[in-house]
Amino acid sequence: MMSGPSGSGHHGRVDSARMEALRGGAGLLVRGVSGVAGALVGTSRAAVRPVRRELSLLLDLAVPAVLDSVLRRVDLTGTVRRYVDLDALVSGVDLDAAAARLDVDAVAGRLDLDAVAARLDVEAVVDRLDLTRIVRERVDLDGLVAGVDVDAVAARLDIDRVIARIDLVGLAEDVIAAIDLPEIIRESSASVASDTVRGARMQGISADEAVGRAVDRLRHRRVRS
Amino acid sequence: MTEGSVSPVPKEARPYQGERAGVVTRMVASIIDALVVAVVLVAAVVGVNGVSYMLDPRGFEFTSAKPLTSLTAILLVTIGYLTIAWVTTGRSYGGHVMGLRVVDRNDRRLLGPARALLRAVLCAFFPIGILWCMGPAHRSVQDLATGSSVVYDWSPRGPRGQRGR
Repeated sequence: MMSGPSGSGHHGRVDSARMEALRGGAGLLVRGVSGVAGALVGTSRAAVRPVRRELSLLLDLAVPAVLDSVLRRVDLTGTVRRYVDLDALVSGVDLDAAAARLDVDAVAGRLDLDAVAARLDVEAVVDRLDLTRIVRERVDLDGLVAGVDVDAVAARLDIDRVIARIDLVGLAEDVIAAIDLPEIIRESSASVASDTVRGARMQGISADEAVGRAVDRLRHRRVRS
Repeated sequence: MTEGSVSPVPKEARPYQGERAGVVTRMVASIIDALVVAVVLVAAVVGVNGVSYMLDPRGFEFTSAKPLTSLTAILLVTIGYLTIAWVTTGRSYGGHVMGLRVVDRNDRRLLGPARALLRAVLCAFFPIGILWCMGPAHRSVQDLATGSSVVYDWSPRGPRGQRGR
């Protein structure tokens, strides 16, 4: 039985305690072995019982010490990696049951979500989203627009700049072409050749109305009488 | 007027367009038409005499028509002039000056030759019938007889391509 190296004071105290235990253990072992021998020789079952108990005590002390000493000298991780089929081991574990036992809220509570979010590549996430479709389906655009103060927007508009961007001459030409302005001018000059004719027509209409009113009055007077 | 075009009619006259014309406007138009007929007849007499003078200058004598012939000529010219005017554009020269048009009472289309001729005959033989349009409906005897209306229409283009019976 070998003890570990005693460098620092703490380790020295631990080692001396362990040595004490080992010494006591050795005594017990001697007594145990003698008991066993006695039993083999032919002592009764009642005589063997105390021997067994002492042997058990001896093992309680010796096994941890031996195991500790062995493990300190063995590359346990390497050994496990070399001799144990970890995949087979893990495949036999019921991960769902393990996950069901997990307190996810507690885990989330321990997470630093701000740090996680800071590491997120939001641009990449946004690139993968069809924002136009999402907005069209989930946003009440009519309600949104109804809340917009269009007058205020219009007040901020620089109308002069807008007009400067418009091809007014081209627009005017299109309008003239669409309404056939030359034809209108021809019609105007043909129909209302002069102010005299226009005046005569308007006076004729006024005279018609005056005569109509006079006739109506006469008719009403006749009806009354 | 076509849809989408600008009306050449002045703003103050637009509310009256399409309404039945009153007696004053129609009488003025009739007087102008009578003057046109008179000018045509005078021109015809002058033309006949001019031709007669050119053919026989020495034996030329100014020939004036007999009353019956003159009356017949007046009626014929009047009827022909008015019929052609109403069938083609819906208005005579008097109607053009006063901004009037003769149309069908219901669908506002131009009159057909038969109705225009009947209306012209009635106008020539019974011109006083125009006074009936002093009534509230503004309809003369000619209008009532032929189912026509005289409306204010300052637009030079009439109901083009549309003609009644």
